[in-house]
Amino acid sequence: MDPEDRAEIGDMPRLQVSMKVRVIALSGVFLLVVALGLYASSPLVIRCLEFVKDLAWAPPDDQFNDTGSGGDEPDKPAAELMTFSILQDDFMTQDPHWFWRFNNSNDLRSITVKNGSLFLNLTEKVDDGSFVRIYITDREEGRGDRWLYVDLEIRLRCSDENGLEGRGKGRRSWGFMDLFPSNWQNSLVFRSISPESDPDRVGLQVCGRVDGEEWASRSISGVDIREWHNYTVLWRPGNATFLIDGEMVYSTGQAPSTPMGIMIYTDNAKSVQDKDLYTGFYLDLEVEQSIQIGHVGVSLDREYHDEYSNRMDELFANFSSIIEAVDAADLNSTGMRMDLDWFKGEWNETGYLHGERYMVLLSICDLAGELEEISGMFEEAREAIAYARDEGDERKVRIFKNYYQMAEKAWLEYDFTRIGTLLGSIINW
Amino acid sequence: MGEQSVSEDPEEKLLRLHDSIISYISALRLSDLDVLQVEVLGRLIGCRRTTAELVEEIYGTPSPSDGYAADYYRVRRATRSLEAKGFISAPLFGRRKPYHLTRYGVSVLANITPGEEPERLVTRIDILVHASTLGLLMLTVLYTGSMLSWVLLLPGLMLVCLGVSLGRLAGTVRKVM
Repeated sequence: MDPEDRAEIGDMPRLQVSMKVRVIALSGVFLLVVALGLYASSPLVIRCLEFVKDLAWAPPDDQFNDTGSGGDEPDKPAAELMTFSILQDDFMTQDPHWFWRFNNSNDLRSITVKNGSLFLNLTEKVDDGSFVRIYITDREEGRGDRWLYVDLEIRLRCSDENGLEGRGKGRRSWGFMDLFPSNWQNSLVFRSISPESDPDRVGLQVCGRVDGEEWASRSISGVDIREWHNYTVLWRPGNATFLIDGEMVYSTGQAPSTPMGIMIYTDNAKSVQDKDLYTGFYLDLEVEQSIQIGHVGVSLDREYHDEYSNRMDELFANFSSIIEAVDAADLNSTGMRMDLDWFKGEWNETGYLHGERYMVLLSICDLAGELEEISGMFEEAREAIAYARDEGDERKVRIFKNYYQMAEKAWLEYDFTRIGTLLGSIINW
Repeated sequence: MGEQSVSEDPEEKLLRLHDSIISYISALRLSDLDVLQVEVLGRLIGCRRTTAELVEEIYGTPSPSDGYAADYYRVRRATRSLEAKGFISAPLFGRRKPYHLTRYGVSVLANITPGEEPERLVTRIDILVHASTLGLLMLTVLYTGSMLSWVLLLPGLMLVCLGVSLGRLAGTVRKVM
């Protein structure tokens, strides 16, 4: 090539990518982003597709034996005038009140709500000794348990696959529990245990745990859990009563005194106490096993609710005295007043105060007692000093002045941060 | 001008006409194209040509002759530039790579007359659809764990948008193939 030509032509551009390649590359990036997004949101996408499928085509639900007395439609319990209702869920929609968990994740493929029922489907075939569990609960990590001394009614039935008489394999349980799914310390539950899980405790039982110790479980005979039944737990201070379809099956004087959450679960775990039986801790599942829940209701007995209301009024009154004491100490009580209003708002709106908040309120009122004691010391010392001065007894005046200084010291050393910490923990809820 | 028209032969006249057409096209919206690029575009209307064929047609230079290499590089640079703009394209695979006008190129050439809106490779509607898809996808990911009933609308809308988006994406790719 001539140098002149070369000068005229110039150098070939080094990187001149054709538009076709650029468009294809950008399309690839777009598709990759979409694929990652679809993967991340797959549970919701699958839920949406199932919802659309259900709209277009509702397949027959053949996993339950409908030959029993339960019938097709779950009978919803009528609202009773004798109770004060706090929560009623007939599962017409997926209520955000609940947390749905499959193997402790939020994979929602195995939990469905349709035709007024919630289905917990343990659909995974398990043959490698792995653990599968599916549950719903209303206890929220970090926010504590909602319920204290309330009545719980759950209407449900279990599938009859995968075991004997609807027991499935492993455990099924419904009722109150704290700290679930980790090691719970307190519970009041109905529990179904399969023969493969524990030959000694097979069948339906009521059982409970108080401060980590389980009281003897009581077996219930003549109840086929494949049929619809209303399971009720009446939880009161110092006692608990279990009912099935309105008939009492067990009553106990041992009941937890700390808040618990509602929990319904099924898993494939063995529930054995004897170490010799620990040959494969988790059971194989050949076919799916399920729980169909028609209704969950929480209420307070009217009479108990009146008592509860009186106690709440008393607590609020004591709470106000704390604020007055804090004001008297020239400390800022604005945040506390706001918390108190917030408490009262929740109380007025629902007629019930979140269990953990109630417990903290009790603690705060204990602190109020301490403040009152200090305040009493001041008053007594002032009166005594005035009396001694009237008498002209300087020795007594000195003694009572010392007493006054003790009260002053106690006041100055009083740890107001304890109140602040308690209120801080409440406001986080 | 008159003197010129009397003396010139028909072939020269055609060449001059060709040049004037080229300058006319260049004066229009293709001002970023040089004369050689417009010439290449003209040669590719309705047919496919390899770079060697274009060199031979435009310069009349036979391949073993002197100056062929210079002409070849000029044409090659022009075709690459046109390819980068999306006006022409050659097959990705195969030994023989004849260039042809893309749909986008044809569309741009068809709309060069004054007053016509030039064709855009990615239209505003395309951008809107793709952005909606990505936005809905982001919301779907954010609300995956939520139990709110209206959240089920998000994946539905997102999948519809994704379908439209993929269709428009395929259309864009086809324009430059």
